[in-house]
Amino acid sequence: MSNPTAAMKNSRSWLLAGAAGLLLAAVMMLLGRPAGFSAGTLLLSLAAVLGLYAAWRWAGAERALGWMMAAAFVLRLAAGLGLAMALPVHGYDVEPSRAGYLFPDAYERDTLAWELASSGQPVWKAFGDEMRVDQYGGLLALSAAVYRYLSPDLHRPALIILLAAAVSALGLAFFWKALVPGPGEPSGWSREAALFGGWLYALYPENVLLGGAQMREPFILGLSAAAFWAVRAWPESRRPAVISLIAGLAGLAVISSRVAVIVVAVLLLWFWLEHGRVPQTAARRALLVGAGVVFAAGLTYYGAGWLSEAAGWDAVLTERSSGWVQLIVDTVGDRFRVPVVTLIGLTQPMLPGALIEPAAPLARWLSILRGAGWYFLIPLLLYAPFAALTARPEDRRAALGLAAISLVWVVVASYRAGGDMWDNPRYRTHLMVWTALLAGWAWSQARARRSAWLVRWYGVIGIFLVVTLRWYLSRYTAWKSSLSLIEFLALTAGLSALLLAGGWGWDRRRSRTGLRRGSRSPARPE
Amino acid sequence: MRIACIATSQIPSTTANSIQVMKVCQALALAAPDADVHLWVPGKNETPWEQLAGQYGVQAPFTIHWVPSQRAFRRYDLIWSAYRAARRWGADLFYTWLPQVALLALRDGCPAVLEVHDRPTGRIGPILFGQYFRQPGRKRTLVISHALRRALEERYRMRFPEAEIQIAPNGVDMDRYRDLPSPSEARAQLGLEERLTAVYSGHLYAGRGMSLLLGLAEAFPQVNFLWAGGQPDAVERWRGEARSRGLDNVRLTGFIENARLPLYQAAGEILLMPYERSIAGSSGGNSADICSPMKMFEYMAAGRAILSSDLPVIREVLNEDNAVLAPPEDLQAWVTALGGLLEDAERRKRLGEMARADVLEYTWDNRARKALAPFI
Repeated sequence: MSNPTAAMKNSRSWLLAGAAGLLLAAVMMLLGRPAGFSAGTLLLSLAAVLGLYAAWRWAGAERALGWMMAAAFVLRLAAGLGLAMALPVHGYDVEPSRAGYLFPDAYERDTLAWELASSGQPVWKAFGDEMRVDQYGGLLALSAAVYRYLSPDLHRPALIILLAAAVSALGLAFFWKALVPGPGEPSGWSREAALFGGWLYALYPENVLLGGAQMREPFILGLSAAAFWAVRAWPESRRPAVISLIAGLAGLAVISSRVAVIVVAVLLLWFWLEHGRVPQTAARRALLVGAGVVFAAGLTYYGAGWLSEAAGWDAVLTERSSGWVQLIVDTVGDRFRVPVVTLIGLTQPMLPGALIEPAAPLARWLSILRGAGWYFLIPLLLYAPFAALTARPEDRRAALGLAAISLVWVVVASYRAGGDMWDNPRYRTHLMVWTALLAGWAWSQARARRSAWLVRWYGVIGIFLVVTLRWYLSRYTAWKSSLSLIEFLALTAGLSALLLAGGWGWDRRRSRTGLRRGSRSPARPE
Repeated sequence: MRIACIATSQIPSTTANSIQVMKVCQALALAAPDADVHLWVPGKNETPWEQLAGQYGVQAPFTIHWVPSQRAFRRYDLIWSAYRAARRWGADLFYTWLPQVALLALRDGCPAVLEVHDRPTGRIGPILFGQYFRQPGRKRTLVISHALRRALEERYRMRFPEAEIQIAPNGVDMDRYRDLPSPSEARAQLGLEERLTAVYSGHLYAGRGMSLLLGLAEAFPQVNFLWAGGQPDAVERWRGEARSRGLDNVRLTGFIENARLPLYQAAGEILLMPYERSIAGSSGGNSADICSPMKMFEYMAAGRAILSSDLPVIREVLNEDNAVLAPPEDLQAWVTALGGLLEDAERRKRLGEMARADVLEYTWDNRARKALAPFI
């Protein structure tokens, strides 16, 4: 027999969620452009809030997760709606900005979606347009469907922002559920890793800006989080896992088939890392390696040509837009163009550039936030593989695999988009679920081991930032003391090496002293 | 005015696209006498102008820069290096066959002329062409046939603004076709047997109707069939094929320098263009529905009777008044058509004169003048 008090509480909480949905609808109708009542906005707001609430309850209804999801959703919405209002006034004098879009792709796709919605043509027409626009496909069809059925009278871009923010925030429920075991479930990754990773997912500036825009990335994130959970939950909850996996991958295939292929590859590896065992016999090991090679070959065949062509073009664009890159390529030679551009891509969005380069105030603040987010994350990613190498044997394989997935993807994104300070960070977010987990795990490891290495990696990045800042200052201010490329590299590498070597020496000394004094052993080395 | 031309054609080579690039650059130099024309192409070694002039039949010199390019970079290294060099040189106008270059120029506020000879290929080429299309700026798109324009407009579901598009079939350099000898004199100069001759010039790729030509040679043993052009391996293969069929009226010359090609074409009473329904180009792909063969204009300029496949795209230029058109790949129809022409010298003369008059509209100079008009 059900408990009447609990049932009442339950009903009340649903009513409260419904009220929050109504409140959101009211805010959307007030702040959205065009303002005014819209049944579609009301419906979508209610669906978004109730859906998020349901997901929160499903994922364990922990307060921390609730705050995380709420923050993710509200921040994305605020960013999307705020920028739609601010950009026409404070943005650059270009068409997307004048129309209130931060991302030109979002502007292009959203405009087409509205055209398609009001054209009377079937929305699936969106799938055949790659030749005409590069913003074709599932999101175009989805956006057109939303406009056609929920806002046929007026173009309300805020509806897609709302949808994107909700799907992106929904991903957090899957992320959390995958990592923090519920009562009676087998243990997962540490709660601290899930907390840190979850907050990173929620607050990482690139995620927030993309999550509040008519872009593919928030959908990719939400859907890949669903597939991520499915793989984790496979042994215990097979049926829901299958449903979630199929739904996530199908959604991804519709939104972006190329990303779907990448995510499938990562999921296969992830499945093996989580649930697979190293085969005992040589024949089975060979079979496994063979299967991996075949899959990799297929993936290469499918994507390498496209990737290298796209990378070639982006390398051109990077070099075109940066005298700095031209100087480096001229110095090291043409044949190193792609490695150079890839390396420079890893530094994007360049925080010192954002601080110093002339830009409109709004654009500057956005660049600073994006750069700060990336430079906060880099040391965690640098520290993670070393921590993985020295992790407990039972954790090592998964940690190393996770580090490999995240770091390889960061490099691939950089190779693909080079120094493009928009595309490159955007591609990075495609595997943000894994990156956030890796960062969270690295953070939790650093704390558990009381390791100074994470701080040292922050030191290395700090050195790079200071030296680069000096270069930008000399370029954009009256302070003329420019460094040559060699001096720049030597100074950064020298100081970083000093810091890392000094840290290593310090740890050894402390370790010896500790052993001599018979104190308990210091934290595991990295 | 400084005109920077950027192409991916290998120069020197025997490909039609390299010939087209060289002809266009010469025409640009002639069309705008005050202009300085520079061409950037892939390659490591410079080739002396004299050698190029002979091979390509070009007289007016222009500067060529060879830019090292690695295959792994899929020509993007060439695109950037050439574009950057041209910018440094101070180019006022970019004339290119690459949408990527046109896109870069337009983004940098520089006017651009883009020649389009086929539907964009590659993985991101089509997308970049779409971007070029939408990119505002002073631009002109030269499309080689109405059929190609329609194909592009259909594929991209858009319309070229009339002010920005020029239907620009390939052309001919009329100077090289002035004062051509009669067929008999040309045959004498070339040391060919004196009898009625049908000439085919060009590559021997798939889709060019080579089997049909052999069929015609079998049907008309009294006529000489002169094949001028082709890569050495293809020439050997078709020579063997002709020998195996016991045909002694087929003569394959192999590659002929472009400067000497008019003489070979002049050696025929009839010029043949037996395209099939599917034509392989030097860069691959099927171009039967959108092409603009250079040899068609050369044939017309030669003032000889033309017997050609009746393809819609060919009909953009040829018609019953200036050529005889027969269904592609239909040997019997071709035998009938060629037989008719062989018997009627007066008709051959009339068709040749009309073709020569009609081709004046299609000179490289005219084409270049029209392309440059909005920018001069």
